[in-house]
Amino acid sequence: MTTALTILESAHAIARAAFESTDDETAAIALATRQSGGGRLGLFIDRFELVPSDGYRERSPGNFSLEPRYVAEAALRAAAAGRTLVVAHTHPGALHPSGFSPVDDRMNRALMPSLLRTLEPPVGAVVYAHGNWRGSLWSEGGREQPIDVVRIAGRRLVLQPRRDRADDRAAFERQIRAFGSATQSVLAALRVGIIGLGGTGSIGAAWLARLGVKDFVLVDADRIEVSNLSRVEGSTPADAREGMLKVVVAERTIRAIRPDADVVALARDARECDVLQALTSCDVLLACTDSHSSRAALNQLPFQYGIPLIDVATLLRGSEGAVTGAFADVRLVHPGGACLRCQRAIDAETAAFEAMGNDERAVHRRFGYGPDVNQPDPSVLPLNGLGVSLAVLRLFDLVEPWLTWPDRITLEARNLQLVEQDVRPQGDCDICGPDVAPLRGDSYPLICRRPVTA
Amino acid sequence: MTLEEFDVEHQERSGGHGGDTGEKIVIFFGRERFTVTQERMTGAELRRLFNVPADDNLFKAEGPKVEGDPIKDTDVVDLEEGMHFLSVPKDIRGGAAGVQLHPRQQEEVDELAERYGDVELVPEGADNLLILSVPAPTWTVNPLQSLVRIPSQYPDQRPDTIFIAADAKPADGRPIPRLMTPAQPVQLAGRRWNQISWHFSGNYSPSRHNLVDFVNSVQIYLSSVNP
Repeated sequence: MTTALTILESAHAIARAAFESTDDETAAIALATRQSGGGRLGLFIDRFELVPSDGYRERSPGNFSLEPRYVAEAALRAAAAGRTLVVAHTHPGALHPSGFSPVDDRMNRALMPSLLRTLEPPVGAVVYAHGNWRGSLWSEGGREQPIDVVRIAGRRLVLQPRRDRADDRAAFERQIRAFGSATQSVLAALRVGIIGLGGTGSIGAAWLARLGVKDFVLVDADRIEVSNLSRVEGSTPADAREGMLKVVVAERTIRAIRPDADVVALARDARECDVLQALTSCDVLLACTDSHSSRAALNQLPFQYGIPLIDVATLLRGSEGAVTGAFADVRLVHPGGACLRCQRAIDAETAAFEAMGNDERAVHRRFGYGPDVNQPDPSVLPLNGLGVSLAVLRLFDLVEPWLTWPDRITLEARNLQLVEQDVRPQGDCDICGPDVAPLRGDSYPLICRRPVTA
Repeated sequence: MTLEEFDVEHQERSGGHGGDTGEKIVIFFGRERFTVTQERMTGAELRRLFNVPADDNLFKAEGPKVEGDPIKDTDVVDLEEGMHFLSVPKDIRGGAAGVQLHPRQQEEVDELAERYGDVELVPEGADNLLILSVPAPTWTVNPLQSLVRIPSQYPDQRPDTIFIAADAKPADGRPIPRLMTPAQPVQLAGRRWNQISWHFSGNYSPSRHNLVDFVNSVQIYLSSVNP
């Protein structure tokens, strides 16, 4: 099981400013939420509480000591809120260690088992030094697990992996020249969830593998059909004959490019609860689904789990040789930004129809209600490629900002016009609105479907 | 294990200060539930019941606050249904500076650890505090936590005076010999200590004397209290 700590960008910024304003060691606590899906144990921090002056017994440039009463009350507050506790402190000196010192280790060995008797696991401790976070989580029984990756979640995605998996830099030398070695390390550490492995998602999977991504969660319940062969990367006539699962084809493509990749292939519906839970372990999501109800399910993850989501959609309008419109639409959804609903990417009526069984849908259609969701839309590979290009460039921008794009851009291909769309959260939105607490993690239920067995 | 068995197990461990009414009272330590039949228990009894580490403070919780001071072993707590307790270490100390010892200091501390078991090193200012447990059969607390300050320039600076845990006294009730802090124990490493006038005899020499000899001599001091 891997471990992760996600810190909301605003919490990180406030803490960093306070931490870097003094030569003394500074301690803070956070009442954190949890995440345990997809083989990852995670904690989420939406704000730090700096230890007040009366919470310290001692404080100096090299040491700090906390009042037991303060820590005990922090634990009680966390328990009352259904949260857990992360104890953070700084190593402010230039020569100070980036991880725990021997004194920190001793503190943690005594403190964490005590906290675990009051709080549901895990509990955590982190050190902020030299601009980076390092730390550990403690599970039931007091078992310490170093945090594999720290994510700063917001408009950009800052990833601080414990180990550098970018072991083959020569292969990426050209892109490193532009984006830098650190970006390559982040790409190698990213766990990317791709939802929909059809005409856009399959290209996205192949490209990301080529760019150095090594960890994928793939979700698509569909199988390859003959009509997919013109667009699905890596698919063969044999796949269509055998009705091969799209996730299996995508996994095969990824492994052909990057044999050491970690791939979880889920031939499942993205709306189902355990599939969404598995996706909560990802660092970034590429939504390549044409389903409105799937988008609605995924729409929760950027806000509840701090996972940026890049939604790719293409639209080709035309009939029998008369193309009237071609669009590639790429939306970025991130904590602090507008959700897919506020970006008008989810049509509630279509989502409702998608969720119906075939019989119920047929009845509705007989009475003239609802869109024909079973009728496939026109689609063509190069337009899908345009959409994926924009989405992958956007992913680079998340890691190392270089674009000036707004959160939603639409490329109108027929006249080669780029339409920048200003999107912002609606005041009353229950996903991204100002009244919604960020990074609620597992403490708040996801809207999802129970798995339905045939 | 069923909940009932769990309760019985805890109850059997409890002992009890008194006021046994036979009526069951459910109390909580953190996430754990305990059933007791005593209306009152001492801090020591509660510690045993909850299995609280000796280095932790035991607190009574009232909502998201702790109530009063840490519960002392001798305090008597009137138990009420649903009462909550928790513990955290008495000394919650971290820091980048850590404890970095000169090789000679480290060698001697290692030798002491081999003899006395776990030793604790706590930085304090430029010095380091060495805390270890020394056998003390004629004292009220045995083994007895003792503290020696390792001066930052040891061995050029000599170790001098010792500290013993403030709750320890000679078992025969006589006063603590050579006590330097009769009015008020001192606070070091988050704990309270009595300072004892105890020194190297004769002229201290960095080449002839060392920390191990000084700490070993603590036993001489402690055994000066005869039953």
